[in-house]
Amino acid sequence: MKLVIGLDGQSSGKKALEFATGVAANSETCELIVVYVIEWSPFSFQTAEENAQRHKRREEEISIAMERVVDPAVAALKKAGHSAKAIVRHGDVADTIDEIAHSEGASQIVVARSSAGGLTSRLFGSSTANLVMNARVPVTVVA
Amino acid sequence: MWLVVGATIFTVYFAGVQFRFFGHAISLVKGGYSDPGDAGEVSHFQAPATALSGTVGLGNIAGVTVAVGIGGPGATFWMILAGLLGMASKFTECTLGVKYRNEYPEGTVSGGPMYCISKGSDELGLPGGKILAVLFSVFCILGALGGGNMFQANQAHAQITQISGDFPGWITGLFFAALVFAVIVGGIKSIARVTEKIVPFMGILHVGAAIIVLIVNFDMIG
Repeated sequence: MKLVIGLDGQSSGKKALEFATGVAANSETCELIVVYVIEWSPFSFQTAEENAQRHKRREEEISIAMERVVDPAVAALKKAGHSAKAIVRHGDVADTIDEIAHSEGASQIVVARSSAGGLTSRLFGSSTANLVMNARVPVTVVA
Repeated sequence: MWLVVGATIFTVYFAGVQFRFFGHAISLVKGGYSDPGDAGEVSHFQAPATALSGTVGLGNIAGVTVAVGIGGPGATFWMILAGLLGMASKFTECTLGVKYRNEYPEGTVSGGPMYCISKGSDELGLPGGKILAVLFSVFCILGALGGGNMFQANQAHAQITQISGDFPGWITGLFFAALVFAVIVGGIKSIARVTEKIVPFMGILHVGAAIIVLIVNFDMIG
């Protein structure tokens, strides 16, 4: 069994992690894939200066995400005796998590409930809601 | 004139690349050829959008008005023709820009005609590439002073006096100079960032305003 866990770098992500660990404990062979998506759109507008710096910034963003969010989670999972790996990618959060789960052949996605609020989430929906609506793999939302 | 000659040469040399690969260009910008592993880098949409923001303005808006004002409606035809041929120049320019750009060890990139000229002529074994590159840079500075500052300030002053009534041009000039001073010397980067980002909306506003003018003056068309 393969589980994809979507982290958001907040405390709610930890709950998703705990839930997935609980599921994994009940199964004999379960691979856990910890995913962190850095919100990014290919259609946003950038200045020439930002373009020149982009490659460097991307590397920095990935290493910060690895260092602060993903690596500690994977280390904790491995310490608990699970097989785990990490993926950090740029893109739309919902689409990217679904894409990873689909291509890895995962049987379930575990994410935390939406941490977004206010006008933006009213207008565009939250990443969690978008994932639940469009995912090709069953999704568990942890409260 | 020389721009059109150059553009015609590029169009013939590349056998009408701007028409043959038009569909390819659209699917490139839409992200059809993007590698998902490259997500987070400058996208195929962002690069031309940024380049466009530096181009829209002087030539496309003020220049067209001046050309039609001096040359009459027939100027539009030649501008469209020059624009279509100019796509081949842009193709050549951008390809060379990418081919001869500099990638620095810390991960940033920079490029431009000065690098194309010096590196390209070195490759072909032609002398004087460096001199031409320096000349290009000097002319760029002169162009920025003349076309980028004087012409735009002059145009802006002409527009303002139409609304407010006549007043000496140096007042507008001084006002703009103070603004530019604040941005460049004072380091108010936020202003530059905002103006660079509203350029796409300026384009939309420009086309929208042109359509409104056409609708209002509908009875005078044809």
